[in-house]
This record gives sequence, C-alpha cells and structure tokens, in this order.
Amino acid sequence: MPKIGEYNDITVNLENLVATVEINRPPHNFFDLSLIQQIAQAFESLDKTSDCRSIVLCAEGKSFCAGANFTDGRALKGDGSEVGEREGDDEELPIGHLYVEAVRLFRTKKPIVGAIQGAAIGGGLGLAMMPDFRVTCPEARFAANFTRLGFHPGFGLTCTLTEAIGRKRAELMFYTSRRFKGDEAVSMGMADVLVPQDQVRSAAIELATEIAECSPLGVIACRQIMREGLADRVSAATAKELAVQTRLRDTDDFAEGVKAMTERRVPNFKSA
Amino acid sequence: MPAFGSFKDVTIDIEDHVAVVEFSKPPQNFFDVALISEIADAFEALDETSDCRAIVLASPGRIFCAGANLNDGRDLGEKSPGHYPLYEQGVRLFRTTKPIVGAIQGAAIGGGFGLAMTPDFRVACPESRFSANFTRMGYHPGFGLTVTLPETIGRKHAERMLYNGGRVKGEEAFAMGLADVLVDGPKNVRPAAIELAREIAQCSPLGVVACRTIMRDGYADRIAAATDKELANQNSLRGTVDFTEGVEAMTDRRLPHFIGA
Repeated sequence: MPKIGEYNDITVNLENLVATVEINRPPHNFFDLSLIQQIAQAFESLDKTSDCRSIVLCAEGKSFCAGANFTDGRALKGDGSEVGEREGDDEELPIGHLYVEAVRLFRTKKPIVGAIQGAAIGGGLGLAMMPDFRVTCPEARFAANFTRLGFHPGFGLTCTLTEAIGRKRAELMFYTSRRFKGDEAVSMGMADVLVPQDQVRSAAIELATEIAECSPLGVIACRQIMREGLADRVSAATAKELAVQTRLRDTDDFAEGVKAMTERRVPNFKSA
Repeated sequence: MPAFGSFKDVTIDIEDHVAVVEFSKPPQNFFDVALISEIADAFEALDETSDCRAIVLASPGRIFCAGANLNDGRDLGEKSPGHYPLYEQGVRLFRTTKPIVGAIQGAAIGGGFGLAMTPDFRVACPESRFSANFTRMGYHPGFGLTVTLPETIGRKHAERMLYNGGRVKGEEAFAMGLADVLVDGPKNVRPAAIELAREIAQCSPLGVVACRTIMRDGYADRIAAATDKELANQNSLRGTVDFTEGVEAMTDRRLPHFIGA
C-alpha cells in the first residue's frame, strides 16, 4: 500500500480510495494528546485528498486502545491536560486540551470504519465510538471502566455511546463499568460487524470499500445530515465530563480506584 | 439486614451499600398518593445516607403494582376539581440522585407500570407483566409514561403499548429493552436486582452519581411537563361515558363498548 504523510505514532496508507489509519503503539496503544492530534491531522488531510473516500481506523497489537494510561502519571497531568508536544505551548496547556483535540475527530467529513480487534477500554472506548461503524470479533472487549477507577466517563462517551446504543445500555455500562465481549457488543448495537479475529481489519476494509464505491458527494452530504450537530454535542458533553473528572481527580477515591485496578481487586471507595 | 427509617407502607434495609426499598400493600400493591409520597421520602432520605450507593425498589407478593385503584376515587387524592397531587409526588421519584434497580417480579399495570419505569434498570422474569392499560379503561396514560416509555424503549414500541393497552410478558419486555435483566422465576428477581445494585455500588459513588446527573439531564423536568399534559387529558376523559364503561368492563373482565364520548 502506498504510504502517505509522516507521523510519529500512526501510519496512513491509501489504496483503492480507502485510507487506513493505523495506531502504532503496541501492545495496548495507550493514547496521549499527541496521538489524538496525529489522528486528527491525518483525518483532516484525508478530507482534502480526493483519492480517499472512506477511512479505516485500526491499531497494531493486542488491544485496540486501552485508553489513557492512568497508572503512568504522564498520560494525563493533574490539571486534565497532557504533557504537550505541540510547538510553542509545551508548558501551559489549557484544561481539557485532550478533549479539544478529540472533538476535532468528529468534525471531519469522510466516513470511518473502526477495526476493533481487541480491548477498547475507557478513553479507548471513546476513541472506538468515534467511527461511523465498528467491525469486531469475539475476543474484543468493550468497557467504560471509569467509575471503577473512581473517575467519570469522558471522551464524549456520555453523548456518543448514548446515541449509538440507547440511554439504558449506556447507563448500564457507565454505572457498572462492566466489560462486554465483541459478540455482545454487536447484539447491543455497539459494533456493526462480527468476524473472526484475524479478519477484523480485512472486513473493515471491505465495508470501507463498499462505501467508497458509492457517490462520494452523496455519501459526504448524507453523512453531514446524519451527523448534524454531533460534534457540537460531543463538545458540550466533554465540557461536562471534564468538569466532573477535574473534581474527581483530586479525591482519595480516584487514587484508590487506580490502585485497585493495578492490583486487580475491588476498590474500597469512601465517597471522598 | 438493619432496618432504616420509619414508614407506614415502606421498609428500607441497607446492606453492602445497597438499600432495598420495599413498598407493601398486599395483595395487589395498589398505590395511593400517600404511598408514592412515602417512596419519594425514602429515596430522598437515602440520598442523604452515605451508606447507600444504589437502591432496589421491590414489593412483596405476586404483583409488583396494579396501579391506582380507580374504583376508589379517593386514592387519587383530588384536592379540588382537577387537582390531583399524585403526579407532584410521582415526579419526586425522578429527582433523586442514586441509581435504582426495579425488581419487577409480577404484574406492573397502569400507574404501577409508571412506577416500574422510575428505576434506571428493571429485572424481570417470564411471569412479569407490563401493561399501560389506560386506553382500555377509556382513560389516558399517566405517571409520565408518555416520556419514560419512549425514552426507554423507543417511540414505536411505546406507541404500541400506549395505544393497544396490551400486556407485555417478561421475555418480550427483555427483548424490547423494557427490562434489562431476565431471570428464571419470580423468586430470582429480587436477588438479581440486588446483585446488579451491588455491581453499581462497587463503583465510585461520586462518579456514578455525577454520571447519572449528566445522563438524566432534564429528565425529571420533561416528566413533570408530561404529567401536566397527561393529567389534563385524564381530567377531560374522566367525565366521559367511555371512562365509566371502561372501568366497568375491566371489573367485569369483558371487552369495553366505546362510543367516542
């Protein structure tokens, strides 16, 4: 496949009108501000590439994306922003910079298929819910495990997950932090196609190719109508989510939740 | 389980951060304004109790709740013509902050169905019955069902239930998303509801309550607005021949002869 663009942590290939954006931080593909920025840049440049009509978002390794790495303090700094790699503002990033970048992912035009071959956990679930469609396999795991960490759902999930699978199911996922397998994800409407694990990416490319065979003007115009207001709703949701996350990050419960997650035990929360 | 609080028809037991709120008016657990008010008092007291992180709403016997007893007009607590405080109390059930699991072991009919829709989640069994039988009685759906039902199961399913007044069994309720957990037999319903509530209680209480506030943003206000409209329709229908016929036919267990007046 012909490679386009140069990025640190992602690879972008374009073939037969379908672009493949692969995250290269195996095995768990933890994200940080820089990774989300790179994906946003790739999507935005593909918007301007007429040879690209649809996009596959996939990841290298065992997990699709295990979210932000909470056990490694560098992933998210105490103020909600992340250690910056952007030119000119590497020290004083505003609170919520990560989500500002995340919202960029919802503002591009071309349809996206997610290839969810493994775990999509926490913020990684947020990233997995960004594409229009998801292809997955029985081995994949979907979990909004925020409340188990003493934290609050983020990455726009209170909007994206609710709109994708309905409020009841989203509430169940948020309040229990429960993990769902790939086949359950499909029956819940969280993923759209179920295939064996070694076929996840090829099936995602197949779906993206089917879309790429349709009128690009028609697809983009229709997607604009179908997603009308979505980026704004996601933006509003991340603002509310971030306000709670910022408050909870200083609690003992958050420290206990992260510790319990590392020690693989039930946390002992104290509401403080 | 240690008992909590002092109520007439409601008991609260808290164990492992889960409060079981049981309302009891056997055999059919008909509600009246006082009962709904007591349940609201219980939920509000539990909001102030840090030992409680999740609530199970349950009732004893074979019937979850058969609604208001329309044969006895006093149950609706009419204060002045057309002023029924029932829904003012009903809306309080939607304004509290802690997640609630409903243990729906049997029939949830009419207003009882409305009460069954106050929890975030419902555990049911094949013996459960859900019915918005208002239109069968020449009446109009109430208790906020015109909002809670479509927001839970989608407008199509909700319209069908509200227009035909039919009974939906536990399995079908589960398939429609009306119930979230289906277990085998009424005796397994409450334990499964407690299990789900415990799963929630193991998560961060601050995170869960904050998230529920976001997920239910505006929900209670939408329900309050809906009950106003519902009550206006109920008031206008209560004086009709069809309402008299509907209630009579329900008592006689026959199909009503409606005339549209």
